[in-house]
Amino acid sequence: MSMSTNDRKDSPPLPEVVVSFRQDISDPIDWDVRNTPSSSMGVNTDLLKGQMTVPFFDDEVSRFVRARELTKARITPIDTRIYDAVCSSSRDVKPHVLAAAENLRISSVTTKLEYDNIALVKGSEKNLGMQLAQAGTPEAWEFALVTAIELIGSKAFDSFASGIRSVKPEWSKSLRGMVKHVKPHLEIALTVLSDTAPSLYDFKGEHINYPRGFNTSMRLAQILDHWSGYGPMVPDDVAEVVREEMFEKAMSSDGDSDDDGDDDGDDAQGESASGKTKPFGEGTPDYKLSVKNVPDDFEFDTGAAGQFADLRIDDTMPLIQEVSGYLHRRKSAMTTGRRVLYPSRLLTDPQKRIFGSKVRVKGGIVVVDISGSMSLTNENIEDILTSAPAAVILAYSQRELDQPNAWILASRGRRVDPKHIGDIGRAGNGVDGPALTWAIRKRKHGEPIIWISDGMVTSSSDGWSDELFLDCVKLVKKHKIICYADTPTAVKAFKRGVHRSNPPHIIREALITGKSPR
Amino acid sequence: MSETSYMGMPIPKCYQTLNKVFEAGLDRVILYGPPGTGKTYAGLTSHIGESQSFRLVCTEDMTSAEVSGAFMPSADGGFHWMDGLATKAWRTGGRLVIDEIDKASGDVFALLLSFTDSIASASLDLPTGERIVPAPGFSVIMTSNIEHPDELPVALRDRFPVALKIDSAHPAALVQLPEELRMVAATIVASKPGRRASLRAFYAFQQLRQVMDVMEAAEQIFGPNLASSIVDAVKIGTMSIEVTL
Repeated sequence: MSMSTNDRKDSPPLPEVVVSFRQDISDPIDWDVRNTPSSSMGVNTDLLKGQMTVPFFDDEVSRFVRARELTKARITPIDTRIYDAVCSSSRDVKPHVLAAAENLRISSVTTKLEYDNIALVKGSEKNLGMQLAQAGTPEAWEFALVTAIELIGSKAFDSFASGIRSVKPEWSKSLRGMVKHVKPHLEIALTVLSDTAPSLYDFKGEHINYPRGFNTSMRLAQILDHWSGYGPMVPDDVAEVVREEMFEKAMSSDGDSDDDGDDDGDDAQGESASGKTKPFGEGTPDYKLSVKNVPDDFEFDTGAAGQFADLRIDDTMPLIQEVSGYLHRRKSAMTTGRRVLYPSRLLTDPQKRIFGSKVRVKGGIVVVDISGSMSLTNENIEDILTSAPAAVILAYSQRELDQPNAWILASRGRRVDPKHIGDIGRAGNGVDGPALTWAIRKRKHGEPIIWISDGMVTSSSDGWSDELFLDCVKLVKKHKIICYADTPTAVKAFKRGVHRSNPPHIIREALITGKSPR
Repeated sequence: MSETSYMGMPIPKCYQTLNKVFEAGLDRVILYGPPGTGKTYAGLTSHIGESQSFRLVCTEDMTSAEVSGAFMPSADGGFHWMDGLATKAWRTGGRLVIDEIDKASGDVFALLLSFTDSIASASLDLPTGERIVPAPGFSVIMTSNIEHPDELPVALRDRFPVALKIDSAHPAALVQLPEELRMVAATIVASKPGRRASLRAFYAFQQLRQVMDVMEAAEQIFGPNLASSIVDAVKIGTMSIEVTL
């Protein structure tokens, strides 16, 4: 039977009915239900405002969209502060991932109620997948992840993954791995997935109400987070870029963004309230390592148990050998320039190189951890000495109390004899902090400080201390100390003449999270 | 019936208020609001005790005979007086429930004003010569589908100090529906115009879905537009596909 326009069936949803089944909402909501001509544009459900906008048409797609929005009204948290609370409380959950996980729960419940998720197939998934993979950026990956999460269980997912695979097979593999991990968590009873028994989430002294079924979304988000940001399941090409970006941000931020407790709350609320995914990149953690209260002349307390040992520099090793190629502030003659430094060259130099400019050689203060955990050979130390000819190089390692635990191996062009190198270090750390503060004091204006260490900071008794470790990391951040985890990386940077901090994992994590990873 | 729930179902606020009105001894109450919420049911059953209740459904064509009574032919060829429903209620001290009084014709309306007058001034001389007054315990509940009590004539409104809007289904009426339909019916009955259906429609739907496809039954009872909406709401509300099979 065909229907004329006048016969068209309009089926307005009844959110007031489905919400009346919720156990966590007692007061009725006065709903404003609106029709939209599109099954994708403008579709929205806002429990707080009591607004639902969906297509009223009687086709399959519209019916699925209505059912999905009704399901959302039936099971999703009404108090959207829960998103901020969860993400602020747990470093393992990012707002856009939690929102995607909740959307996945809603879609799964809708599908379990036997509504055909054909509406999720738009036909453009393959192209979208290809475009994102071609973009290849961390933002594109986050978009791909969120899209894939929301398409799980539909035919659209296969098209999307296929588009991605045609450009970046490793991305597609990672997304399919994600689906494999997530699916078992959705194969639970409908009553559990959709449970609205009231639960309380404690956050900063406040109790936030949420439906118990939302626990599934929180668990899903924790799992999905492995595929987001710098998680372990993120494709290598993305992870590398993300880690670099995060480290740069960590080093440049003042680390106080979260101290007032407000920032991320305001940030996450608006979008998550509507259950939409956040724009990409907002899922990266805040940078919490505050250095605001670290004084410029900070010094460690030393000597007592749990503290660093006093820094005892052995200054008896003679710096008699001139480093070959030492070129500290060399002036070079040039054919062009602004300052005439060599007028005599007009007569003597066939190329008439009368101009001169100062050439800054690569120097600075180099602090080298030569403790046993670094496993440095004499050749490793030798490499540093030869590749940083203009630097002041301090090596440190604590062995016994009252014995020297630091040695100046080179100082602006002069260095110790190689025969002395074999006699030092290879014991505990013990003086990481004092060695850094010594370097900070010694530094001339603009000079870089380079710390070569695996980050295994220990006290005088060679025991690990979170507090001492974090204090060292704060110094790294405050004084922009360049870190290298090993000597080959450092030597490479010295030779290249360009330093880019590449700290060991634990220092990197601490800079990003503000916590000791051990 | 406890204060706030009835057989596990919450008692809507309007019915809780009605209970308090009766407990306070008020015996003239108007119940108004959308159709199919159980106003008449509440009138006939609430706080009735051992008394009888009598229901008058007013129409333009009704006569005073149905209210006060009339002479009827008897078997011996004569006539005998037969009390109308209002007279019976007066005599027995029962509950008189008057539906749609605003639809009554002029003379019936005037007569009903007499029957609903306050106890002190209520008396009526019947054509038999008998003078009757309401027996102790007599009470009157008036029901109407008006949106606001001010729409009623002033003289009538004046006789009923309490006017309660009944916008929710009576739980005693809801429990007669299967469990999965109760919450749906309760909400739909209290919905906005255009999205509302009466309790009677849900009773009919329950009967019809036993013998035909649930969507077809819904279309027959609620109309094509609301049918799909209600079936979806039942399914998603109860989180069960069983109810719609």
